[in-house]
Amino acid sequence: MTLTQANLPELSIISGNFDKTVQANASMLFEESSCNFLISLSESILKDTESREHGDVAAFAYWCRRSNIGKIRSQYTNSEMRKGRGLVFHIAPSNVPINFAFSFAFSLLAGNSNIVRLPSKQFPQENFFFKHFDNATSNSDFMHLRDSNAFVRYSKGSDITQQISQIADARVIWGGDKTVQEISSLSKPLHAIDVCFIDKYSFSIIDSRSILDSVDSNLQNLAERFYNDAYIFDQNACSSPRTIVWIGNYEDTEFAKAKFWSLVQKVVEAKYQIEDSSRMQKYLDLCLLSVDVNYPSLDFEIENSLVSRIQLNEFDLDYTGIRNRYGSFLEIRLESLSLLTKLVTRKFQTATYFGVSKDDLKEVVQSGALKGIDRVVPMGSALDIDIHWDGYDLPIALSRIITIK
Amino acid sequence: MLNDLDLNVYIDNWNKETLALSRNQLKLKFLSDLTAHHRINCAPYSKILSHMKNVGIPTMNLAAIPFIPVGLFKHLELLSVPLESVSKTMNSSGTSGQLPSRIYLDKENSINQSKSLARIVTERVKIDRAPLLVIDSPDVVKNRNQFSARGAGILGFSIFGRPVTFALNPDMSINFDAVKEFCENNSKTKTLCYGFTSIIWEHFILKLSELGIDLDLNRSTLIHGGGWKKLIEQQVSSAEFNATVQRVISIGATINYYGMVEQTGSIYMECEEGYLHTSAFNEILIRRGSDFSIAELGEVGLIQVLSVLPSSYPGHSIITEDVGRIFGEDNCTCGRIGKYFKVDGRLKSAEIRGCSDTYSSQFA
Repeated sequence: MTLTQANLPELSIISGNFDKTVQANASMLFEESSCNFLISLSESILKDTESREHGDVAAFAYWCRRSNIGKIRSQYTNSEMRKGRGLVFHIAPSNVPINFAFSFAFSLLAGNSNIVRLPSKQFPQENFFFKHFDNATSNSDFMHLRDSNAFVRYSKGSDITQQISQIADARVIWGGDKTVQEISSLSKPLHAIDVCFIDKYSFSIIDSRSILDSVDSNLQNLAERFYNDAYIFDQNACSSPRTIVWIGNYEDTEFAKAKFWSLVQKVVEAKYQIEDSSRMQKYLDLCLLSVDVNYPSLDFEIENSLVSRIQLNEFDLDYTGIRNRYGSFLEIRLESLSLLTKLVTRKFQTATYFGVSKDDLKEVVQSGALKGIDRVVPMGSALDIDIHWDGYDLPIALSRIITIK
Repeated sequence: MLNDLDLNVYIDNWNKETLALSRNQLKLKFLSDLTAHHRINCAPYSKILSHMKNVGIPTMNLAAIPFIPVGLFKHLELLSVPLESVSKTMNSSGTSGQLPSRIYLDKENSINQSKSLARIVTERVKIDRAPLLVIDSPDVVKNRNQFSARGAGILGFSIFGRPVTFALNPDMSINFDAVKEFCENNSKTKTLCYGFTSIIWEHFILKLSELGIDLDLNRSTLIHGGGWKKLIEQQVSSAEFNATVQRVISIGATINYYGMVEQTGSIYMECEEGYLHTSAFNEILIRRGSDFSIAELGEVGLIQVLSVLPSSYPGHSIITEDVGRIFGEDNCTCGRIGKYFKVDGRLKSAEIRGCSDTYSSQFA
């Protein structure tokens, strides 16, 4: 029996046709109409002046602008034949509003039809997004996409996740360890794959000498970029830095820290909106950290401040277990970049950097001793999600290769 | 001489004139002694203080007494006496999905709680013993070694009751026979009613109102506190609470109090003018959420509660997640000395930002 909307009374459809999506066919990787649709969606959003109020939706639209889609597409021009896996079921995370749109777009480009489960909490950005989604799909060139994509919502307690899982060719599961564990334990067809985004750890690499050699205006800009990476999501995004690795000798590093943090402090004071309950949570977090037997030798002060710094001498314990948030940073100094291999585990995702050369970074990454790290990006780009995420090449992961000889 | 004064002597003699005059000075002394005592006897507390900024200098005023977040008692076992001397543990009601606080009491600490509660309540109600109607189920106080906040309140107030009648059955339905008997037997005597605010509202007043039953308790004083966060969620104001109670059970008077399981016994009672008051055993400070600096009179901020009682666990100075404001000190028109204040509610919990759903659960 096919799954239909009528069988699922708890399911609400936000956009698209569920019943037709379930029956839809896969298309080829980067098919013309899928690319053009995203471009048209991008134009529709960016033309709307209201997009200024939704920076994250605008960032999504900017990502799928014509030139970028063209650039991405050109990266996949080798002659192999690839087709979407079929029906992809997306479980969007509840706390990053626009993430569902990226998840959908990556999969659409891979040639799939999609059922996207929206977060249970409705964000204001959502209405804005769907206004333009519906606008773009009203064009006769893209109308067919309404029959191969459905955006849905239902309460967490229902068994709809299980029912949709049974007809999915792939699941894309966001939301961290707990959600991934829960959803991936639900049965799916044997051929289906899961692309899971588990809890990850991210950090920053800063060259101390480069801070001391930079002019003030550059450092001001750097502090703002660091703020964006770390504070926009209360340091809770998986790509937000939790640890700062300083590269340099002791003296340079001490001066560099003083300079860098005083600028960050000013930016944070000017921009950061934090609720008192989150401040209290941070204060409690720091109290608990001070008595945590797993981390006996941390050097820090418990205070109600927007920038908290925790000094480490060694990174030999599993410091990635510390959930520092709301602007608390572990700091460690390394004499040279190559020592990075000692502290990076499989859990590491994003390294944002400043003052270190790309070649040096490449060398470290290529070293066999480096166990983790999926992305190395300049400071300020931590949150820029892209088709390569958590080590996945998403259009490749969500498509299948067909050999013809 | 005052510096050698023992806390027990103070608790027994606090209203003697000489002690009353120096009570602020004495409270400060007891609170700094307690800070030192817990620092020596509670290792985690000592560790936390050693990480705190500006702690360690001699305590000059109340504001300099270090304060720990109320949430710590949910995560850590904090006690300053050997586990063998713990005679009671108390747990907070723990709203759904939250860890309960655990408070460890030895004999001395729990005796002091009862004494303090008795002194604070009699100063306000002027009744030593009276028939008491507890608006709760007797099951709440079944286990005498482990208490919930509700149980601790009931036991504490039971010392005023002779006899004690429970108004609710174990399943929280109204025990009409018991209630009827209480009303009939005491139609001409002064009585007391006691209960948790949310329990009184949900299981007694609303139920009676639904059933269209009116009681006559016009010679009774209702003392209630705790669980008011639930009423705020249901958007029941204290005016509405009082009016409905008045309408349904014709109560003689209602007195609200503010207190928490972390500082049982040293409650803050509402005066005739509708303000909560500090007592000889507790103090209050309002701090700004932004930097924990002390707020101005009348300025809304986080409530820090201080109590001279907690000796078996380091709960003498706690920053809560409740917000309120102080209106003045020693000049309330009710005539009582000390600070008078109001509680405005509880901090709204923030939306969790970030890409993982699990971050809300816990820290380490």
